[in-house]
Amino acid sequence: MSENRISLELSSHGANVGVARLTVATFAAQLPFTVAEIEEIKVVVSEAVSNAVIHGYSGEPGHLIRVEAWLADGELGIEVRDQGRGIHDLPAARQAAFSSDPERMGLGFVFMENFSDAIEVESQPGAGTRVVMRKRPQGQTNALASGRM
Amino acid sequence: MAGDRRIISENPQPSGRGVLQLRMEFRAVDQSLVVKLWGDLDLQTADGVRRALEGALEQSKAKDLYLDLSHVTFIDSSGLGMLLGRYKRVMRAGGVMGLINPLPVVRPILELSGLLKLMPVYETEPSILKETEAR
Repeated sequence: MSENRISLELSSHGANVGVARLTVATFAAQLPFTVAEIEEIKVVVSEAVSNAVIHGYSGEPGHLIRVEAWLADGELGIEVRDQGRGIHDLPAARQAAFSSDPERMGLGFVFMENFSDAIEVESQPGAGTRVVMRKRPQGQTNALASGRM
Repeated sequence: MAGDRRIISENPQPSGRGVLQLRMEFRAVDQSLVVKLWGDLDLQTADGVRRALEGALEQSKAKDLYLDLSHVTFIDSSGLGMLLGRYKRVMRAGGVMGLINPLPVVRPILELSGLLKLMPVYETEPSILKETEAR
């Protein structure tokens, strides 16, 4: 199938978390993901964009979050970038239950890692954060592994 | 239904009725507060739900909380954090918090978070009411 790409620029507003996950989910549905896999894609986008709002920009609206998604070689790629605070201790932030807020479970990265095939995180304090995730429909992954494709 | 008192409030959010909005309906049954939710539990809605649940628990003086998730179409870590926060509050007061009929689409995240090990999950509401009446 041919390649495709979308790019969103969002204000760091809580309402745009839902906009981002639904847009990427709709885009991703061009690949043969299952309903459950589409839900996982919605979660990883929601987590990454929420992190940008809450941590990158301390909950302040009006700052820029970029979400890009692309389809290439049967795989979905997603990038979420902000120009916010950056993560001071990235290994610690990626561990479960590390959260500065008692109302949040600190599981954002755990879900992103569990629900995507691969994740890369780049962050520098004061220079923003970039999260890239990749996901391939499981049926295709199995077919590739067994040599059917 | 025996034991029903009143609907405390409906749709306490000042927001609209778009697809990303959330609606709530509250019902006090004996010592329990039963809350039905419609919509997504994410960064945008979690805080409003938290405030509404805290307010309803205060107003009803209910000890137990049951959340009917049969129309909740999405939950992420913001929603999970709100659920865990309410669980801690109810447990501190010696009550029980249960979830009613979470949809298949949200079960994986509820399981992965460990919340299903903390809170009982019920298929339908009547079993809750029977348990409440039996106490």
